[in-house]
Amino acid sequence: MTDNARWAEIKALFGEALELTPADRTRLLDARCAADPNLRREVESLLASHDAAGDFIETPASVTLAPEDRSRAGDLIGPYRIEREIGRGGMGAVYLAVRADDAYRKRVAVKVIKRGMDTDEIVARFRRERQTLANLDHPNIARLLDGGTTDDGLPYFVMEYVEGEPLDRYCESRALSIRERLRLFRTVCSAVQFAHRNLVVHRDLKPDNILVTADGTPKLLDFGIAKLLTGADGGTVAPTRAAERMMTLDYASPEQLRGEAVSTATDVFSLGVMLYELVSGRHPFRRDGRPAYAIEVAICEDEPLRPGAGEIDLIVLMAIRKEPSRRYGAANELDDDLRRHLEGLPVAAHADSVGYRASKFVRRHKVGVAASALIAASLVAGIIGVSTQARIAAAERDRARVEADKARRVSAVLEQMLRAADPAVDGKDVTVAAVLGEASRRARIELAAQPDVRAAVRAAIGNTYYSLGLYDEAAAELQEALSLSESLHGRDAVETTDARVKLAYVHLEQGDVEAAERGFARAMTSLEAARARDVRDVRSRVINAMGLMAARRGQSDAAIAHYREALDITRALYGDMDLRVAEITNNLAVQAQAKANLDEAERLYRDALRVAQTLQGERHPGYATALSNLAGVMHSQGRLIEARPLYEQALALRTELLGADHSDLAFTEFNYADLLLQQGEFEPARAVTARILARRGRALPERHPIVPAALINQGRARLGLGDGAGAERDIREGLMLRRAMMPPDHWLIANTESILGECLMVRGRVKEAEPLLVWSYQRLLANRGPAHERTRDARARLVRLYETTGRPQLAAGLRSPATPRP
Amino acid sequence: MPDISDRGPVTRLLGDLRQGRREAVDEVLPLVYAELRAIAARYMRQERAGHTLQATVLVHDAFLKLVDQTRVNWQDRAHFFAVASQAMRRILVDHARARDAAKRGAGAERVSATDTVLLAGNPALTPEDLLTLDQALTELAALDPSQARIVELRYFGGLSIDEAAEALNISPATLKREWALARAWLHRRLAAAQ
Repeated sequence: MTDNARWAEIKALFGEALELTPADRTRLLDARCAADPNLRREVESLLASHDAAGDFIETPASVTLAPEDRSRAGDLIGPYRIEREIGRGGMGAVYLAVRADDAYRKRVAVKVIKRGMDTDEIVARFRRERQTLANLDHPNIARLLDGGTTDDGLPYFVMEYVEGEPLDRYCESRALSIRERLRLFRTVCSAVQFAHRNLVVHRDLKPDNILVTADGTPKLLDFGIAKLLTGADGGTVAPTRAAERMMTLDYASPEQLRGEAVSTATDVFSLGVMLYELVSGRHPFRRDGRPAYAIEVAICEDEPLRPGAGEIDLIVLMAIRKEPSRRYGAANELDDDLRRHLEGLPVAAHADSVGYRASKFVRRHKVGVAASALIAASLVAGIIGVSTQARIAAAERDRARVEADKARRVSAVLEQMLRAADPAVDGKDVTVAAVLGEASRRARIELAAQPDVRAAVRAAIGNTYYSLGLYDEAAAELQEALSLSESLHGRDAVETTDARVKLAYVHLEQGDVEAAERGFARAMTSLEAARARDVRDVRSRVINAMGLMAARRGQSDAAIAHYREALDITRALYGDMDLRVAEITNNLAVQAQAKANLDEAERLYRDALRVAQTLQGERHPGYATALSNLAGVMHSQGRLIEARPLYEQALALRTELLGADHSDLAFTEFNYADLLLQQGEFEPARAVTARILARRGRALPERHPIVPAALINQGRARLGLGDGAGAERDIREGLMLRRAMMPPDHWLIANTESILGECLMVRGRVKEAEPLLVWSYQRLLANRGPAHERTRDARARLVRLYETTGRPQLAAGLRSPATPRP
Repeated sequence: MPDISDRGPVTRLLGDLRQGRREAVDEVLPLVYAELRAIAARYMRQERAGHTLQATVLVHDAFLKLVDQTRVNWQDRAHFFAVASQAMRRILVDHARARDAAKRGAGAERVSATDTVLLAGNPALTPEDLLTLDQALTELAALDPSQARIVELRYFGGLSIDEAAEALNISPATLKREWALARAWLHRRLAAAQ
């Protein structure tokens, strides 16, 4: 059958069915599609889509009007004739022009400041500053030639015309290496330094203000312009702040955002942000998609992530410190450090001193004495791990001796660290992070000649960071351990695979699923080659990780299959009473819960809880995890009153053991907030979700799955508190994040759409709500089945919609279990 | 300045179309496109920025402005609205594409609102949604050209059921059925693209 004939058939059947009731539609399709199930499926799908479409494209398209500026082409500004517009920004437009009375037709750029700025003041400032600006004669600075007011009263500046590409795009389009970028950037630094020596601060450095010409010469534009526009000293008055807003937020320094005094260190900050982007391709404060105020807060308060470019990290981070006095004092100091880095000399930039970091750490984490016990436990585990490796390798005598010797040396280093970690030893309150930072430093220096020991120590430090939830630090240590092991033992050695697997687990926590997946896949390949018993432990961990990743993608069945396999291997190796067995049992329970097998989930959680309790006692993070999970399943069973105290106990334990910032805490808090929502305690629920979200970008990576989940629950709490607009904003942001992080058919996306539908319904936007509610319910039904908690929630919302819009029959149809489809 | 003579070329080209000279579409489309933008700009001078105008208004204004009402019949009207709906679609899509490119290619600061004469788009559809819709509509046209035309007239041209039926010379009941199927098809296509 041709496509045309097929389409005609679909069209005819669709048209007929459209007029009928659901029951009659079924009869019609039964009669007409008996021999053609494909036709039936197609028509049913189109009918479902029709029912879900709501008022989709029913309202005609519309246009929103925006101001149009008169073209100035051909106009005369002072002695310059405008040829065309070449750019436009917050301050006004820039035109290419030629001097009308100049036989050489020298091209210039004319910047016309837009209406609304304080014209007289700008022109007066220009007169005062013009000599200073005229002195800025440097090959990498575009010269300011002239200035005045146009006939219609707008201030303008005339500058040397530069034809080139903005710095960032230039680097991208030519695919410059990091070294080439640094060399180019040094030239920029020297130009900035020249201006600083002439007492001119730029204040608005950004890639768009640094054009690179075709021959690779960078030219800085607009030097001094920002000051002409905004007044003498940055100032704190409101109009100045408004003017500052016209500048790019992305490269503004904390002091500019706060309206504090501007100095040469301000330009250093902007240079630092650009350098960060040039070496990492990312903005240090993750501007993507975030609203302006959030970026502003991040610039002033958040610690930037490391750019991840090795030693340059130190240089970049020093340039973008919050406090101007703690940055490089001037552009040439930054320049100098870049030179030293390029020449392989030690750089002057240093990580924040241990004391500074420790004090910040204490403020952030408020780690109690319990943390010392925890770090001790982690490190002991590290030591045991090393000795186990030694034992496993005992088949070969020589190797065994070497391994045993290495284990001793590793233990010695770790024990020294432990002593330092014990507050009783030197009487000071040394923090975990400070101890680990110091240990990492010592490992690099003192163990330089013993790369094998160094690899093991750094892996142990990395593991400890991991268990503390300090994933960036953990990644750095484990990456180093991995590189060392690769060069020492080869890419496929067990030691290397072990480090690779640990690093992949960190990537998973950081939300970088792709990197994790690569790591695990590579590990699996290495393991395929080896068959010996000593790889089975690593193998089971990789399989467990594959289960975790499948679970994140919403593929419960695949996850369960992986967990079962990992559980078999691990049980055979270590027996039932083992923490590794408990961990996998726990993961299996999570999936049983996801599939609404709640009784099985409860049984599995209780198994895991018993093992954790027996082996570790109750004052241990593992016990807290098990407790929290058990509470979760009771919660799903609707046993809210029993579940609540378990959550509270787990939260108290986790806070005490891990500190208030640990990301594991977020899961318990999230579920607890969910329970509070169900109990109608909206304000406490909002407070708990707000606590989770306050850790965004810090202890909680932005792509962590808990972030959208917490946003959505915060939205639900707001809805309960009557803040519909805030609720919609939160839920939409959560939905956006989930769409970015998950495959489009993931059931959690449908669940979120259902929640958004509810929010819109409560806000009285029934027409928008209906398609969301219908569509999400259908997908949950197909994906999770009619008995799943979320499907039931979605159904209840749809029933409510039908009831409130006066369609009791549709509502009743949904309620009766015989007709699960709307 | 608006003048009766403005109505000459478009009215004549519509006549050519009626006589079967199909290429006349290529000549009339740019005229309508430019006029729609000009009308939007004129509204701009009267209204505050951010004011939302339905496509219907623009298309009808353009019809009055460009076509000599005393010299056209229903076929010319139909041709005009088909062309105007197509022009409207292009304006919106061109704009969405520019916004989308600006968003992906460069920092948000690089293109400010004042960069464009016309900030076009349906508040309900993001630029990406609009581009997906445009793409889906092209696919629908391959399957069923007349349904794609209906969507253009209804959504981009803002024509009512009766107006669209009249323009296509079919019964309103038929148009309604076709419209329902086209919407279902597009809605499913967009849901799959999400």
